[in-house]
Amino acid sequence: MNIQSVIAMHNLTKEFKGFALNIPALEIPKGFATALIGENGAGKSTLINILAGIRLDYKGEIDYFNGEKEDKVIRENIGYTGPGNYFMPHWTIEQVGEVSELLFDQFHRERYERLCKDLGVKSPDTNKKKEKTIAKLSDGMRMKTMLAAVFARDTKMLLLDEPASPLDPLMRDKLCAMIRGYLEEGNEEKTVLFSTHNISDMENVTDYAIIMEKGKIVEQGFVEDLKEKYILIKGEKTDENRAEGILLGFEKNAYGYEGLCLAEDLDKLAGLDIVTETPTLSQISVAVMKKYTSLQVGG
Amino acid sequence: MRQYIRSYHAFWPVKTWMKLCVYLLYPLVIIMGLYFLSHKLGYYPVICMGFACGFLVAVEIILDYFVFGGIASRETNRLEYLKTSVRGMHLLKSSLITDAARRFLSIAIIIIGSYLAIACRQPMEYRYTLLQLLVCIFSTYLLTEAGLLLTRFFINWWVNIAVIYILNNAAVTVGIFASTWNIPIWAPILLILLGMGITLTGRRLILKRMEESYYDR
Repeated sequence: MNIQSVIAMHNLTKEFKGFALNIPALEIPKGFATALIGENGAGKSTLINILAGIRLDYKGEIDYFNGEKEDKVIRENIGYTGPGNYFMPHWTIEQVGEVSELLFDQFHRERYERLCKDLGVKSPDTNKKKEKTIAKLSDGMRMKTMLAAVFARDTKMLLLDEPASPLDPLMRDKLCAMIRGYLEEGNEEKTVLFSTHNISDMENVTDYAIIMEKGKIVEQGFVEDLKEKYILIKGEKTDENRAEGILLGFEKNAYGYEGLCLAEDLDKLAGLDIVTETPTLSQISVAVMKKYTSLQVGG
Repeated sequence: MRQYIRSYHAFWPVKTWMKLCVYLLYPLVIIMGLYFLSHKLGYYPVICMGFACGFLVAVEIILDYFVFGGIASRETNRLEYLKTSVRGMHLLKSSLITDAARRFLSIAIIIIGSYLAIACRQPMEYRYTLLQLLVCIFSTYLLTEAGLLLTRFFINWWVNIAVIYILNNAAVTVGIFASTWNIPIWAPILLILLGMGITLTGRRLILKRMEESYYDR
């Protein structure tokens, strides 16, 4: 299968406040939903902000849409949502629509209004006089407004920074459906890159995963390939000592131990009484992050 | 021009009410209020002119709080949504220019309208010369812009109140005593140049804040 990339980075570096982002090479595959996974402070937001063009203090090269150079075209085709100061605090939801019409050529007001109603940001019988300002909305409502604004545009790529974090479980499910719909509508021409520190909520929509730790990419690949690369091992208490040095994310429990093993290292566990399972992306992420984190984690 | 006005109005909350208030209600309330004070309650015209200048400073700073208030503060200066568009900076620039132009016109029209309402049927000694009127207009504009230079950097409402209190008193003083001053021809020119200088400086500082927000420090 010939996989094209929608964004390609080379020698991307950024240093500030004791943190260093260092990515020698990375390509985001076109037509797929890519999850950027990492613990807090791994550099996910830093990377997404650079790709979205809202942070310009970096070194390296970024190639968008197979060589597109015109900034207007690139920004028009990328939809970004993120935490922090996104809208003016006193703007209303109506104003967000008006400003979006001025900012983007491919913004569809009627689609925005419909999305606001579908996501519950506006109830069908909202009285405009009672419309809340952005500052008075909860984090979840604010994220829904951002999502309505980006999904109301015709874009080729969405960069979503922690979109699921402030959302309730029902809305997270809805977000996954919206992302699936966006990709299907694009017919392999549209791409989504979202960051998350809780992959279990977004696993069912993730095609490709990039795991970051301390500003570096420590693992990446299509989810199916990663699930073949790693095997979940569960074993008996008596074999703990032998297994500990081989497994990633080694954890003891009341019945024995479990952890991830590279498929190529499975023969190192020969002779042990083990059960093998296919790991979830969440388990793979946690095990890989544990290997590189500086946090003190139990296990 | 139409695009500039549309960009400016995009920053207005509660658009219908705000348009009604800014373009119709508050000018009428000030002019008719001062007419009432002067002709019905017998306030001296110079006092009414002082009130006109003071009201304008206060009302403009309060109105601006709901439009651009705190736009250059640390809490809001990132405005990531504007930065995702190639037109974001231009939208902000054109809104700030249109806002300054609208403010100047509002101040000029209201002070002239107030003077006409107050001074008509008044004895000659209560009339203002053209230079004195220009000093009232330009100094009110200058004081308002100076106030906004501060209030746009702080999102705290109490900063607005403190700024309004100080500048309101200054504007009232100018409005009252301008009638007694022998104004040289260069004075209004100096005032308008200072006012425009503050406007441009304020605009430049806001845009610089937004440009700086592209870089993490």
